[in-house]
Amino acid sequence: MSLNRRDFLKLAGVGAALVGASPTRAALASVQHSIPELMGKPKGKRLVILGASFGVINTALTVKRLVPDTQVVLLDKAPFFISCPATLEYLFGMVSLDTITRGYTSLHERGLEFVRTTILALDRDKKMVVCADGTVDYDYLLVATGVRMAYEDVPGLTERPRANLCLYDKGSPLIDLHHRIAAFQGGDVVVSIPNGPYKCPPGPYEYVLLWADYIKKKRLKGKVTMVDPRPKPIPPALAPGFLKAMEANKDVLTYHPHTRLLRVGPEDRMVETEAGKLRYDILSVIPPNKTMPFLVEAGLGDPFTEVNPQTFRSTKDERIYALGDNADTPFTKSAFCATTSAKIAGQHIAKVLGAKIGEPGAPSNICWPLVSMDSAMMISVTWSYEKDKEGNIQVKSEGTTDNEAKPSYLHARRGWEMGLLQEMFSS
Amino acid sequence: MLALILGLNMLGGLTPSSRADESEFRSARWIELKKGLFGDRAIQEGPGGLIQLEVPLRPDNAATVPIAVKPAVSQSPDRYVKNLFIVIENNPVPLAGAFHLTPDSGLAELGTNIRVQTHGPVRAIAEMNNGELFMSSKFVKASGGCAIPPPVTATASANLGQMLIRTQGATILNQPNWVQLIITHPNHTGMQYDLFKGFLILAHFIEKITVSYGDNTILTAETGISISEDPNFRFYFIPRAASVLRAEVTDSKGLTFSTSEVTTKLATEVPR
Repeated sequence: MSLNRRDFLKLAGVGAALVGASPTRAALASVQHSIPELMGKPKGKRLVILGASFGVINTALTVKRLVPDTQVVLLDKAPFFISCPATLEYLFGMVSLDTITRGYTSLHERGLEFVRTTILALDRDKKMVVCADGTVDYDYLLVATGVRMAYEDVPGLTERPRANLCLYDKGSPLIDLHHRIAAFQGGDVVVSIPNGPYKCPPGPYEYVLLWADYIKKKRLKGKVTMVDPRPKPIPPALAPGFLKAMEANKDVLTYHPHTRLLRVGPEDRMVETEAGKLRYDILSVIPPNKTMPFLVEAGLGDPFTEVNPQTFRSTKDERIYALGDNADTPFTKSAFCATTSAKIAGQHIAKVLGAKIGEPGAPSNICWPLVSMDSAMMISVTWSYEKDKEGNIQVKSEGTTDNEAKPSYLHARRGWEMGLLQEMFSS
Repeated sequence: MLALILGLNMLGGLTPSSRADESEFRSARWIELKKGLFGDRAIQEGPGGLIQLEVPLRPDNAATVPIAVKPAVSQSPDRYVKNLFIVIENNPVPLAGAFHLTPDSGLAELGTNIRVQTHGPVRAIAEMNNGELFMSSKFVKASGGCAIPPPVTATASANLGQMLIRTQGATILNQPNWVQLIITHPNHTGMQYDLFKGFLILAHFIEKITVSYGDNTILTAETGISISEDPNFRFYFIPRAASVLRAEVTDSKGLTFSTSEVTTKLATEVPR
C-alpha cells in the first residue's frame, strides 16, 4: 500500500488529534490568514533553525561566520539555555543550575536572531514555519527540535501523568527531580528504558549508578532497580565497565536485563514488569523517543526525520536539513556528536548559500559516562564515509574505549562542556 | 530441510548480496531464498495480514535488534500458526530461526533479539496448519551485527548455558500465559574477531531449543547465528493442569543444557 502525501497528512492529523499534541494542518490553514508575520523580509537569504539547544547554536554561528549576509533565526520555546550533558551532575547536586544555564541574549550580539515562541506547524509548500506568535518564512530550514518523550506509549502513564520523573525532560521536571533527590530519605527507585533508540544511550545506566553511589554515600535505606529490555548495558563496548560497577553496587542496585516494563499501576506506587511487580517511591520511566508530531505531519519521516548522513539534508525536501536527536542517522545520539555534526551541517548549508570552502568532514563522538559521583569511563568514536562498489555512501566507524573509571575523565568531561559553553555564549 | 537452507545460504553469503528495493522489499536474493524455503507456494502479505512484525527502523545496536511477531488471531485447533520463520535477508545466514508452535501455544506471539549484518528487510513468515503462508516485512537500517566483537567478560564461559525461564506472576489455567526463556550463551557467529588474540572466534551457537510443560512440548525451535548473544525468547502457552516448565537447549558443539524444572504457581482465582 502506498500513501500519497495528502492521505498521509490526513492520517497524521488523526494521530495528532488522538494524542492531543498538535493541531492539524487543515485547522491551521483556516486560521493562517489571521496570523501575522513574525519578522520582515531580510536582505539576504534566511536560515530558520527550529530549536536552540546543544549543538545547533554551533551551526548558526558557523553559517553566520561563513556567509555573513545570511539572516539566521533560531526558534525555541525555552526561556533560557540549559546544558543537557550536565543533567546528571545537576540532578545529584554535583553542579549548580546557574553554572549550566545561559541566557540567549549573547547570541544577538553575535548577529543571530533568537525568538522565543512555540512552533506549531511547518508548511513546506509555502516555505513557512507557523509559530504561536506568527509565521516565519525560510529559504533554508534546519530541524533540530530534539525528540519528544512518547508518554502515551507507556501503558498506565497517561492516567498518572505526575507519577513519572524522567531525567530527559528538560525544564521544570528536571528541577523537580533534583529536589526530590535532595529530599530523598530512603525508599525504592525504579528506572526503565525503552527498547528502541533513545537520546544519550549510557545516560540511564549512569543515572542508576549515581543513585546507588548517592544512597551509599549518604547512608540512606534506599534501593534502586533498573529494568532493561536489552541483554546488557549500551553502548556495547562499555558494557563490561557498567556491569562491573553494577556488581560493586549490588547491595543497593538490582539490574534486570531482558526485562520490559509492562505498565505503570494498576495499584498506586506499583509497576508491572516482566520480572514481577515492583514498588516505587521515585519512578523514572524513559518512554520511547519520537520526533515532533508537526514534523511527521510535514512528511519528513517517522519516527525520525530522514536525512542523508553525509550532508544532513532531508531526503524529502532539499531546502530542509536536520540534525541531532531527531535526525535518522547512524551517529550516536549524544551532545558531543550533535556538536560536531552541527558544525559539519553548518558548512554544508554555508556551501549551498555560496561560501567557498572545502569538503566538510565527518562527525566524531567522545563520551565520558559516569559510574560514580567522582569517576567516569571514556568512549570515543570517529566516523568516515566510504563509497561501496555500487556507489552508495557507507558510514564506517572506529573507536576506542576505556572501561576503567577514572576521576580525570570526569574533569575532562567538565572541561569539554565549559569550553563549548564559552564557544557558544561568549560575546 | 533446515540444515540444507543454512548450508545453502552460508555459500550464498559469500557472493555480494543484491541491493534490496527499499519500497517494495523485492530482491533477487529474496526470490532465491523463498524458493529454497517454500518452493513455489504463494505468500500472502500486506498491512491487513495475519501477522505483524515489529522491529525498529534504526536500532541502537545491530547485534541485539529487538523483534516481535504479533498475530492478529489466537491459536485454535482448526486454524493455527504451525511454523514461524524469521528471515534476515542480507545476513550471511538469513534464516535466524524456525519456531514450531501448537494450538496449545494460545497466541502465536514471539519476541527475540537478532543480529543484522547490513541494511535490508527482516521478514517474519507464518505457516498455518493448512499450509497457507503469511508474511510481514520491515526494512532495518543496521550494520555489523554479526561481526561486532563480543565484550570481554571473564565470567562468560563460567556461566555458559545458564538459563532462566519465567512466567508473568501466577499461571492461569486454560488461558495463554506469557513465558520468557533467557540463555547465557555467546552465540558466536564465526565472523567475530577476538580483539586480544587477533583471530576469528569459531562459530558456537544454539541450534535447537525444546520447551515443555509436563509431558507436552510447547515450543521447539531451530536457530542459527543470527540470534543475538545471550538468546532470549518470549512466547505464550496454555497450561491445562499444574505442572513443571522445562527447557532443553543444544548448541553447535553438541553441548546440552537444561533448566532446573520450574514449578509454576497456579493463580487461586482467575483475575478479571
